[in-house]
Amino acid sequence: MTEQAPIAYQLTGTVFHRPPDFTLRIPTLAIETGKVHAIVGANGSGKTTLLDLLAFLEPPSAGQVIFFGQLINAKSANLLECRRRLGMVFQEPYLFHHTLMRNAAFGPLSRGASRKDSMAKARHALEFTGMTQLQHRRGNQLSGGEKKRAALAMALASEPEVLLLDELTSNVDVNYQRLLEDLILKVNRDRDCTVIFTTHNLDQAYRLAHHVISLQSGTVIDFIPENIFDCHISLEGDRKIARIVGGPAIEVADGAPGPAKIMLDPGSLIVSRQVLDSSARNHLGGRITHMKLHNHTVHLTVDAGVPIVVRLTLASYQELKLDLGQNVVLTFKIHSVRVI
Amino acid sequence: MGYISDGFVEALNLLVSLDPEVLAISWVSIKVASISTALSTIVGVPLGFLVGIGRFRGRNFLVSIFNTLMALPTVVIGLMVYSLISRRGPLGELGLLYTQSAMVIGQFILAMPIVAALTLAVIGGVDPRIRKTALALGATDTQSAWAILSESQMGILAAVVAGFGRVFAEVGISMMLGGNIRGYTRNIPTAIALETSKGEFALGIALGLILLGVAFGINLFLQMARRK
Repeated sequence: MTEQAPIAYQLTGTVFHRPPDFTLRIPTLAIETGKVHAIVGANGSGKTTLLDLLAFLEPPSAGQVIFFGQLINAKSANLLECRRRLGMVFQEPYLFHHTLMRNAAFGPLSRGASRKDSMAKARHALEFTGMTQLQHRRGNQLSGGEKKRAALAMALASEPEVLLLDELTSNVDVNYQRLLEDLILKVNRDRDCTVIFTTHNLDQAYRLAHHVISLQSGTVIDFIPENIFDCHISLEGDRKIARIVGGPAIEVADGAPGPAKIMLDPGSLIVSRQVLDSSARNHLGGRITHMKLHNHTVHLTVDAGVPIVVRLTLASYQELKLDLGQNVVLTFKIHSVRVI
Repeated sequence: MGYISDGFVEALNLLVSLDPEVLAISWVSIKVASISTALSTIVGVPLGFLVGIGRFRGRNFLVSIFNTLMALPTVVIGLMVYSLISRRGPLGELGLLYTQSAMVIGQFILAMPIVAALTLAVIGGVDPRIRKTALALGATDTQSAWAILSESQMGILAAVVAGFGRVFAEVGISMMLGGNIRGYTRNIPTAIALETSKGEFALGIALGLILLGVAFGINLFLQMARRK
């Protein structure tokens, strides 16, 4: 049995209003310390709002958050105390009109550290993020990627226990993405810091995070929003058929006739080399185009007219002797298809 | 047309020879405008800042008041203050009329709403990420307010310079409350008005050049500060 890490955040019945009309509702969510957590979801699903809530920039509108044992609710006055235990990098970071060194020293100085100590911490953070050479530059003299790294140094200078990163790798080129991803892992590994980051990139979430939190329309959902397709549902006899736009037709259990969105749970798709003789109503043929390993789970992308992601255990993968370019059959029941 | 060119040449002579009267008049202008601008800054910047970052009932009304006061004519301010400090007025006993103090009071009333309204506009348009970033880095509310002020310093400096420029060049208040007393309350704009009415263009042109020079110098300073 694996030992559970202590809890950094425990959210219970937490509601957070974001003007003008967005509301985040988290019935329950626990975030362990010392791990890397990814928050995924579509645009407008509430990723940034959840991060703002976890950053204690404002108290929750209702419900509670327990942060390292400290209770935070709508009436809490200890937000500053909690904020000072964490660091945050915004999607579009702001750098003050000073040198990078002074920017990085802002956090420690705000916490009352002496100028000397603050500068030392800033220097260390800049070193950690590989920004030492740019320490005398001002914010407006940095590129987009450098700004993100600088903002990371600013957050790290205060030696936070939790680091919150909002779309850290968005709007930067691939090389810089890798560099920032390495930094995320390095922060977690070398500083024993809990890292929570938002991303659109599921591949990145799986690659970097120990846990993936999935959001949809302002609430946590128990599935990862993968394999979502636009389709048109029609009645054919007593069967409901969903024709995926630009892809195959599959039988579904729910959904009214007309345009719809469906989701195929990557964990409930059965992969085989040949068509299985089973009670499942859906069999899709396709070719493996992409494979990756994450935490003993293999993620396959199968081109079945549309790319479909399938998750299977490493043991199953080895047993089936699957390889890139190989033709396979995906089998699934109609109840494995969610109409969303 | 010759009198203009003659006046211009004579004006340059007055400037080059550092004519004592030109210097005395300029000193009154600089001294009074500087004091009134400093007082306007002390009151106007915090006022504009607080209204700018605050969200309270009546804020929009207050903003409208500031914007209206920005357009206050100098003669109206002169009239208002005159009625208060003239011998028959409620503050007549203080003996402020036709003093530099009276000019400072009038110019303060002129510049303060300008400084406050422009500061308010700067703070109102400030990048919302500044406050969020400061708070996320562990700043208190006061520290984050200070960060906003610090990041807006160029805009606020421009507001102060606009206030100074307005009072440095105004005539109405200086004439009505200062009385244009030679060697005491005569400043550049009132001297130019007087010399022009007398047909003495040389001194008027010399003072006009100083007025333009100061305005140019201030704008140059602002540009350099921006670039820095």
